[in-house]
Amino acid sequence: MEKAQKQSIKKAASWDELVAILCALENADFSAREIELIARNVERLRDGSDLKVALLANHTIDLLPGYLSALHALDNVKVESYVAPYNQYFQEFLTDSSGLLAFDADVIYLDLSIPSLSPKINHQFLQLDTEQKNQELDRVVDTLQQLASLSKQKTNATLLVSNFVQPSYAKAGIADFQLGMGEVEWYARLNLKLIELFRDDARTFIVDKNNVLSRHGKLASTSVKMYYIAKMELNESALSELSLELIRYFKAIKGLTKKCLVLDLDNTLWGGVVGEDGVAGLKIGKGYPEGEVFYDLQSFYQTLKQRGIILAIASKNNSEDAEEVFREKTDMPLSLDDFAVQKISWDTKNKSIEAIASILNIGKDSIVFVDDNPVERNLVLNALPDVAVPDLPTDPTGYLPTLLKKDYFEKLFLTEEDAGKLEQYQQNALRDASKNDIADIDDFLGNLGTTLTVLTADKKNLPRAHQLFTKTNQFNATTQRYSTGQVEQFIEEQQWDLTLFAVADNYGDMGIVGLVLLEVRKTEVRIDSFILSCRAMGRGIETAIMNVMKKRYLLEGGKNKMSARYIKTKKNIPVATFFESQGFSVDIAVKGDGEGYALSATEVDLLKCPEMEIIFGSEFGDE
Amino acid sequence: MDDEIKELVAEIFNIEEEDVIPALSQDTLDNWDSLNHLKLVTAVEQEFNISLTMDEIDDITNVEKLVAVINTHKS
Repeated sequence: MEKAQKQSIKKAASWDELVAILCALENADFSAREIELIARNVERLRDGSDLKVALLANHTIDLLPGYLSALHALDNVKVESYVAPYNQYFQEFLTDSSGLLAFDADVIYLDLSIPSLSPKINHQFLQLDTEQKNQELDRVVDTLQQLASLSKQKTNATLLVSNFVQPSYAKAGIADFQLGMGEVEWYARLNLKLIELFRDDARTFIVDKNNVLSRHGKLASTSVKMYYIAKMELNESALSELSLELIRYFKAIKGLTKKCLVLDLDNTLWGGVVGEDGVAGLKIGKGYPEGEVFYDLQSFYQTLKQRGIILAIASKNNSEDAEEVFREKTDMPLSLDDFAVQKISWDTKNKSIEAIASILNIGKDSIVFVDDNPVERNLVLNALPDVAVPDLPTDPTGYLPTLLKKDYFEKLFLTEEDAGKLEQYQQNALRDASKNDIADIDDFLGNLGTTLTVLTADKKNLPRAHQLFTKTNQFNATTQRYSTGQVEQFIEEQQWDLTLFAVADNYGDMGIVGLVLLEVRKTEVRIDSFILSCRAMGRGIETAIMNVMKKRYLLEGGKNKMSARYIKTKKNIPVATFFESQGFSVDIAVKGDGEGYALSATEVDLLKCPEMEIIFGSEFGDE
Repeated sequence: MDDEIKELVAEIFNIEEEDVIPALSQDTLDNWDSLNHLKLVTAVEQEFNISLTMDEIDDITNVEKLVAVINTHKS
């Protein structure tokens, strides 16, 4: 993008102006930076939205909204997005006050990937027997079923669920196919089960992410480094590709599907010009290269007709000549009957298209016009700006790949009957709750099999403690950035209690994700730092940690007061009401920056938190 | 400072180009959160066709360091 173009985007005064600028750009293959620029100006100008999209994932998907809003702006659609907190897809459905439920999405896109959904499959595939692999598979399918069910109960949104991406290299190498159940088979079975699960579900649709990334190139879709740094599984080019796929669904959901395909004849439906080459000289049919190019194109148009798209002809020709071609050339997929309207005359194309629109009683914005001749295309583009006119390459072999990429004709259902399932489904919706369904958030969190391991900080885990002090922004009450030397002091000096917390559950081991630093005085204790990594937020861990500390000092340790502070930053909003929610009261006597809180031993209460096992001591469990 | 870097940083953090000074840092700029850091790194790598190491990405806490890292890779 030129600097001048960037300037014009920045200066655009209205949404319409922005869309016009974007549509006039020759190349819509935007860089990450251009996407960011466009997305920001979409935000600035959109004033309301046409489509509200919520994104739930167990990997970092926070850059996706920019791509969706920038790329869908080219279709004049205003997208508003909500990204749920990392890995909190269940909590978002189960908590009444969640951002997801407040957002009231039209579409929810659920993108879960295997590395964090099933660490066993990801890391121990070759150690598992077939039964264990099947168990993992069923567990993943159950998870999606539960989420789809929750989505219906709790929202009015259409749910899009991504399927699972088969790894680029199998762990067993080429011997994968000889295993009891190899990785290729595991992923294929899993994706097959998803198809079966959602086939008759009119509110849940599968996004073939495995295929989207295959199309794009799996190795080219990831930046390994970004995965390790930010758990970002998809790089910018893959995000772009995925967005274009999602936009296909959005168009179908919003009814932006084109209804009619208007085709030129000469060099579009067959090779050659009938008026000059004669019927015998035309290239169409099987058995020779040029003929097959147009045979396949016709076959594609015929497929569109079967998908419910109306075909029409707009050609400058003698109608007798054209009719003769259809009569004589029997080796053509299309016959004249396949076209609902045939405008074969010496009228201009725009006039023919207008006539077609009026005969079919459809809007010009429902029409796609395909013509090999750039002059004709431009004429129609200028005269009828609402008609979609794909730019074709000069070489006819490029026509079909160009048209296949377009998202003009996407529908969620091919037939009325399929679409009717929606109503049917809604009637059954309430009865449909399966025994697998999750009743509420406590039910969900209690079934995670969470263990919380309480550890005293020592030399061995000092680096991790230091990292938590310096890197945690959100659930960090005071944001004290201590140096390694200071952390060492806390470990050595008697008056400090630095306790670390590790979390594991049925899904895997998160390692050390939290810490509390207390200063222990004669009669009271002061919480200096209370930190929880964002990976472990939203599941009651903070309450469990607080209970451990209350018990240690107020219930059993003989101290009569526990004080704490909350120092507000731009980023630590999640902890703003934490101390009050844990039974602390505001206490102005507590010295230091920020808001002071205190809890006396006479008032202490252990708060209810999701069921989890608390282990003291060893960092390493059974393994 | 390279105009290209200035422009890029201004664009990512949605600030004026003249406000892009070497001392601009994660601590002084509210907009410089982890998400925008990710956007910055992605854009820098793409724009200058370089690949930063994990340590470098971690170390870019202000514009001065960013410029230094880009220059190391370009030379």
